[in-house]
Amino acid sequence: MRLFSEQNRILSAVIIFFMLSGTGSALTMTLQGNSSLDFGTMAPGDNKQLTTNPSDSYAYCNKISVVSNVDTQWNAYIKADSLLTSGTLTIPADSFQWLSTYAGFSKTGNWYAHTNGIRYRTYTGFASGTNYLAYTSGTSDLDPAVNDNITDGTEVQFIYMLTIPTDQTAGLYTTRIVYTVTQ
Amino acid sequence: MKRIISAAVIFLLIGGISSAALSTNQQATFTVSVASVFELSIDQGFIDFGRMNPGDMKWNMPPAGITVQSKSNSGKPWYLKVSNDSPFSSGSNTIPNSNFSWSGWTDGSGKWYGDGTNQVSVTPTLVYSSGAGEENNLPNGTVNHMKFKLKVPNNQVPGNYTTIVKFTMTE
Amino acid sequence: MSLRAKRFFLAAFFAASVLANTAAAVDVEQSADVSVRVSSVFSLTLDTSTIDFGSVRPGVWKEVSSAAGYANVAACSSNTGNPWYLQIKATGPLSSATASIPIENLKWMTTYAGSKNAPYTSFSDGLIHPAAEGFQDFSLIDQQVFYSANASAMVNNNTLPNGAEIQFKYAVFVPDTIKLNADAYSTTIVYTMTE
Repeated sequence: MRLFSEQNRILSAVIIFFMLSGTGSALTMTLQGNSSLDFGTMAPGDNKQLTTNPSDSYAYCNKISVVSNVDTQWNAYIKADSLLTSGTLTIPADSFQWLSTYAGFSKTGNWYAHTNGIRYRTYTGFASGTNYLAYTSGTSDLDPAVNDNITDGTEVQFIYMLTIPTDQTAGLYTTRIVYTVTQ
Repeated sequence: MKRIISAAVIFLLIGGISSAALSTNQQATFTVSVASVFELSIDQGFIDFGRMNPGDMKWNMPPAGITVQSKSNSGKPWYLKVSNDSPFSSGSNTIPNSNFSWSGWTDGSGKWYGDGTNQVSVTPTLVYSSGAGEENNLPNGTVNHMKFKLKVPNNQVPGNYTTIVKFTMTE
Repeated sequence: MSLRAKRFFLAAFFAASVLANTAAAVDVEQSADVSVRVSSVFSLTLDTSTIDFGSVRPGVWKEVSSAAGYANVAACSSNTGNPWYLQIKATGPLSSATASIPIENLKWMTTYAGSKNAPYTSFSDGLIHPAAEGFQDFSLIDQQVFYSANASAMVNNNTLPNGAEIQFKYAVFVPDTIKLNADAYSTTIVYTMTE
């Protein structure tokens, strides 16, 4: 009797293990391009865009590449952990801005634009700690929109702009941008 | 075998290196032009010899002398001269300048040209020339004292005779 | 297999199926560090670098000003966050080729200090010698004119973007107790802004 119960438990565990491992979802995100946004040295009143080529409308600074293997909508978010800060000094939220320039996906090597998934197409200031919905997959529009995009994934491109207030105190100001994808 | 031991001494810079205090400056040029002073003044403008008879002579007029003050900051030598615009006159009658002479003394360090026989002339005549250090004699200037002598000719026609004596300071 | 065993396996299979077919909420995250170095601004300008008293007779005092009530303005710009001073000094007496006027005969006065940024707040409490103290003698040694930390309305010693202005008047007395030939006498005045 005892031997049979023990065998039953082991068998159940094995069955459960194989069922779980055979049917799970996978969502991955990589940050490509500039993973460190360094505006360098700027003088009060200066304005600078971080992009590979400000005169090229197709240029961008960095992008997230998201790969999902399930047909479930996912959202990409962007936020700044804090205002650009140096000690007790900060640069106002509206001075540091971002926008998504392009989003597109590919499943089999053919890329399709999905700009309708972009939620912020004009410059928006990074309000400290605010999680901005940057992109939504699978929204209905004229483009074929998909949620699952193996193997090439979906990329959402970003550029950033910083304007130093004319009365800003000198110093090294830092913050961290966090990109989150939720499915 | 002689063993040689070398020791490397390493100096460590301990502590932080602070940034230098900032400093910047601008300059401006300030200028003042000290005004030129070249002035002559006398302490009285009317000498009255009073009533004199033909043949009379009066000297030492005025008794205290006319104080003539000369001021200059030009840095150049200067001269004091005396003249009259015309001899003593009353209508068409005159007393010749040969009967009118000047004398006096100086408080200055320059040269006094009076010798007791100096006649007044319509041509300016040297009275004094500035001495060393008097090219700039401010604030008090240089003072000379002038007196005059007049002899009325024996045959002089009666009348009120006047003349204008002029002191000139020149470089 | 007993009925009990069958039930057990059935339940286990059902539970596993439910677990496997329910997609769990997934969050993935990446981050990028952002940095910018805001450069320092530390500058001093004068609206005029020539002060001319004109012709002044020995023994006479003369002041230089304008209809606005001052002779010139020093504009100080800083964003370093550090306190700073404005200082003034003469490099020598008022001199011509032949003589000098001792420097203490040259005087300065600050009439006002304030922001050049709207709403143009007064910084006059930063003046070391307010106008009520009258004229100060010039010296060959730096004299303090203004201290930013004393200006209560100035935040973080910062005067950007247009700076803080300190207005000056000047006066001179030409002595008549020393021999001063008629000539132009000049000196150089140095304004220093320093932390």
